[in-house]
Amino acid sequence: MISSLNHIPPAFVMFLGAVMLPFFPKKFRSIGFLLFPALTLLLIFFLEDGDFGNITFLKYELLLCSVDHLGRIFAAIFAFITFAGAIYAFHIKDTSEQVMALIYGGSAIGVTFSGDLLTLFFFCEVMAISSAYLVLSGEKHDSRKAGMRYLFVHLFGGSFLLAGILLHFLETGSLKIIGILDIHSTASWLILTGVSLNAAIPPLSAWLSDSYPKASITGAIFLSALTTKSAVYVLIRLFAGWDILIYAGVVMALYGVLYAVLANDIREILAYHIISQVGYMVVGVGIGTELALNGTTAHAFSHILYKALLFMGAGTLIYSTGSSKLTELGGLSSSLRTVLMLYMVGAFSISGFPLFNGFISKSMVVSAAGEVHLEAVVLLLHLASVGTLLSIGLKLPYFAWFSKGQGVCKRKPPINMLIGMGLLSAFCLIFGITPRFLYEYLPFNAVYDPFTVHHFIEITQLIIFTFIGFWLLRDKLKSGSTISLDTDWIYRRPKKYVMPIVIGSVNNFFIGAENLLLSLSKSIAVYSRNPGAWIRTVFLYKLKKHTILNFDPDEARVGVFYTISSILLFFIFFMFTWLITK
Amino acid sequence: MKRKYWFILFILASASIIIELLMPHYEYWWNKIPAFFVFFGFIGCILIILVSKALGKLFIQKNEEYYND
Repeated sequence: MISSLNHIPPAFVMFLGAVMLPFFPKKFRSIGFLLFPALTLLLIFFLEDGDFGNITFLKYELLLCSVDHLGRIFAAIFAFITFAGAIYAFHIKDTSEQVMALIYGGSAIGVTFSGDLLTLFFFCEVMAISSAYLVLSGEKHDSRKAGMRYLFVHLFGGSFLLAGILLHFLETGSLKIIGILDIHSTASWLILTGVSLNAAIPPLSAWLSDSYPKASITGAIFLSALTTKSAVYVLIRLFAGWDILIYAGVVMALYGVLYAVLANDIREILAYHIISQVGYMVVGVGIGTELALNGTTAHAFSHILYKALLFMGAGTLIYSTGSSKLTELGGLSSSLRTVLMLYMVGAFSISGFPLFNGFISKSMVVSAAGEVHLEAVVLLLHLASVGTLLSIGLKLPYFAWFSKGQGVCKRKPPINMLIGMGLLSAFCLIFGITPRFLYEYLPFNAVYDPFTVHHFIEITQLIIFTFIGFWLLRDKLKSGSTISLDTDWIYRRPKKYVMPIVIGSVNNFFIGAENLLLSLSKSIAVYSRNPGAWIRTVFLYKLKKHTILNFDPDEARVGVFYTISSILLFFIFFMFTWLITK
Repeated sequence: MKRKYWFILFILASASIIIELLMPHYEYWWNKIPAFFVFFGFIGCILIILVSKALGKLFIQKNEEYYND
């Protein structure tokens, strides 16, 4: 039984769930939504290393499932977070969102087990489309627009990916994923561009901070966990050791931090800190040593747990108060205390507090940078860490819960939301206190111990004095109702110039043609109402406009005199002809 | 914030500095500077706020209707 189960690609269990869920009785759909990720997780746990699922598509040999340690740990956390997200969304009765979330989770798992580049591309595209739905179904007034932008940007990135993959096939004659791509090949750079967009490496990052704050409350949980981290997995697989990624990662880490300070929307702050945290992972990929890659994997694992938890906290706030802006929140520390406590577990984790899971993975990447003597990188990552604590650990909770504000708890969050958060909080603490539970499953052989005295000293000093800095300048951190320009300016701002040319001119042409037709048919209609009057106007005498427009039978009728005389004339003519012929 | 919390922070900060002086650890150049991360955390935090706000004023922050104009 187990051995035959071993040859089902785990992604397909999720897809099966997506197909079957609409046929479940309505009452049981939320349970079904939980069941399939749980089954997938179980399957991944029993999956043995090796390849299976060879299929031929056109003339290409594809490999649906290639299992190893690296793929397994990513797949496991993807399945787990879909499960946790399903608990959090248990009260939601929207089947389409549940189906899309299952497809989304399934395709992210599909990416991690892809044995060839075409399969990888296929799963990436399915992921883009299914996740776009989660943005489109958002509750905000501009969710639909943001969702369409999200979809187009991802399809744009997908075309880079496909171009790179096809070029790679032409160059090497193989689609199989075997190792790091050649840095001197154009194909590799095209693939890197496509993957960088998914990983949200600036300047290809604006889609993330644009769309995640506008996604549905429950959809954002899946979004925060899957797309960027599956891209990190692909980076480890194909681009480990590419130096350029070190610099890209450092830029990301600080870029997110700077923008988060300005943001006013709570989920926008969290979204910018996804970019920042993925920066650490990208640095790890760029360094490429075993410790660095283990660090990247561990940090992706930890990050998924605490970031989903933070998004759950933010989502619960929005659910309860109906507002997502710091300027409209505040004064909620008594009414939403449990949510605050669970949120703070996530905030302590992302800020790298000892005994929380961010500490055991972030420090690994930083130490890996130190090991190869990238001292500037170490310091800049510490700086990003300061910024993380500042925005996520201090600014957000301070203005959302503690400061005097106008936030009102309109409805209590359902218990399943709190259970979902509680589950993730527990895991943040378990891995934070006992890191070996995670380290045992890391893909590479590198020994690391995060619990050293100097690590504790470093982080204690950083935390305390960041807090003091925040306390002194906290009034400066108050945000107004503004938006921040990001690189999406490039495709959003030109709208007002491009729209008149591309859409406006075509529209005007059609409007003109339509108007012409309408006026033509209108005049025809006018004259066909009373053609007799019209003919008389032209040939005989001027009539009043009123007469032309309104047909009056009496007016048009010929007089009695003419009628009788024409009958008499005809009669005379007839008689006359008859007499002659006789 | 209540005075007792400030006191706890003060104790923790002093403890970290004392332990650092008692157990020196020279991995990077900055380990030779005592209480380096005290300054780093404080100055870093202030720097991030000021730089970010300055950039925001300069060109990043626009009103909410910017894209709908």
